[in-house]
Amino acid sequence: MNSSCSTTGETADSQVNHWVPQTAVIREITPEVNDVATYQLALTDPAAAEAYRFVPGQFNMLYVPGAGESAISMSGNPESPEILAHTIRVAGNVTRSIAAMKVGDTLGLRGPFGTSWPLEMCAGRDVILVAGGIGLPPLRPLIYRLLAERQQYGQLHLLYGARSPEMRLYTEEYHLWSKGGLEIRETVDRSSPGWHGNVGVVPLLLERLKAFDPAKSILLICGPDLMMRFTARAAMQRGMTAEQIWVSTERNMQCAVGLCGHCQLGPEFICKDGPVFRYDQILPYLKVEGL
Amino acid sequence: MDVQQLQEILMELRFTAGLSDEDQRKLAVISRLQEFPKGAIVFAEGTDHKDIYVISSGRVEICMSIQARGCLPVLTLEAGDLVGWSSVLKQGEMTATVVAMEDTQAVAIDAAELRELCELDHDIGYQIMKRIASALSQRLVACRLQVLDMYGDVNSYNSSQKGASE
Repeated sequence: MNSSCSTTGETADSQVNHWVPQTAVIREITPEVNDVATYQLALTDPAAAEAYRFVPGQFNMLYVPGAGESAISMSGNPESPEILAHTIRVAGNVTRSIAAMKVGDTLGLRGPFGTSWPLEMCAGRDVILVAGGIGLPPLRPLIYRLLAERQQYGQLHLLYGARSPEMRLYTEEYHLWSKGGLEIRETVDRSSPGWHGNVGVVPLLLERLKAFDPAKSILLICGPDLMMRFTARAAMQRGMTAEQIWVSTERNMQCAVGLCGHCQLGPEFICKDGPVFRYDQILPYLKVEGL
Repeated sequence: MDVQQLQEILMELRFTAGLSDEDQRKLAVISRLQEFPKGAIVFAEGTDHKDIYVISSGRVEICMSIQARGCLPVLTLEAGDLVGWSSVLKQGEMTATVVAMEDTQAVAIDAAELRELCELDHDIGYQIMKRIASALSQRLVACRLQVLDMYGDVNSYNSSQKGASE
């Protein structure tokens, strides 16, 4: 597949064997919401740490001996690659093992892998980011980048949907993002006492977005497949084309280099050809039950 | 507020934008602008209500009562959204309570007069009912997505999730 922003393994490939995990130490753990925490990792080999670079949208394979390996998107600032942030939700053996770790513990890290968000296509356009639940972390590096280069873009919007007010991620950063020029609108599927924000699913926020010019916008979505499909549908009903929409998908990634086939979706390997795809290129496969 | 001013407001709202000038004028004739301060009840669940609204500014919350838990919010609506469809479809009492979350302004359309207008002029009737059907369809889909609990953990509905590739 031709994902125009493919930058798989931006680390100097000549120096790094992507099959061999590097040792990374946990420098800091920030509990986010229930079952979700952000782990700040640092590679212990100074040369590997020096060479490591990633672009927004990419992921690492985190390895815990005895538990296995898991693909985790990077959620930190790409301008600070010496500290690699990964926001992880407990969802299986590996993430459960990581959740039991503490600062100073080590784990294996391979990467970075995968395609990135299409930054060069965002230039000069209104950029609409739509995140659902744990779909916000893979967009956070992009937010940092967009805000760092704010003058290159038109309007910047973040539409964020969460299960409940308590499950919203990174809330302490919103004021900085807003100050930097990102317009944030939130909604939750289920309200709770004290919540005075929006209630309803995140595609509704897109349907209601004001001052929206479909011709000069680009839409980047990350969240559950269902949420991404209905958000894209709402965008297309408002006049956007599938070629203006990008999604970040995730499947069961094992090798991360397109060999094992575990993450295959139609003809695509999510680990190698994705996780970021232009919507028209992946839409037919998202509609097939069981893929 | 005169008919011309109301028509100008209707022209800008998502629900009524795209109607012909003549249709917007006909709607404006049976409409009025209504203000709801923050906390005001637009209408209450179980009551009869004679108006349907298109919000022009502000935000309202739809709540439904459940025993021992109170009136729980299920959806927020804002400028351009339709509120109070039960009254125009003549479905009896209102199915939910609507409360202004902030100072809100809405175009109130007399439901009986709107029904009569639709009966007398089937062209505008078709346009109005098409828009109501579209609004309800949008809410039905949104409701389904809410019910599915898309962001629930992997064990709650046995499907793969972000970060769960293990």
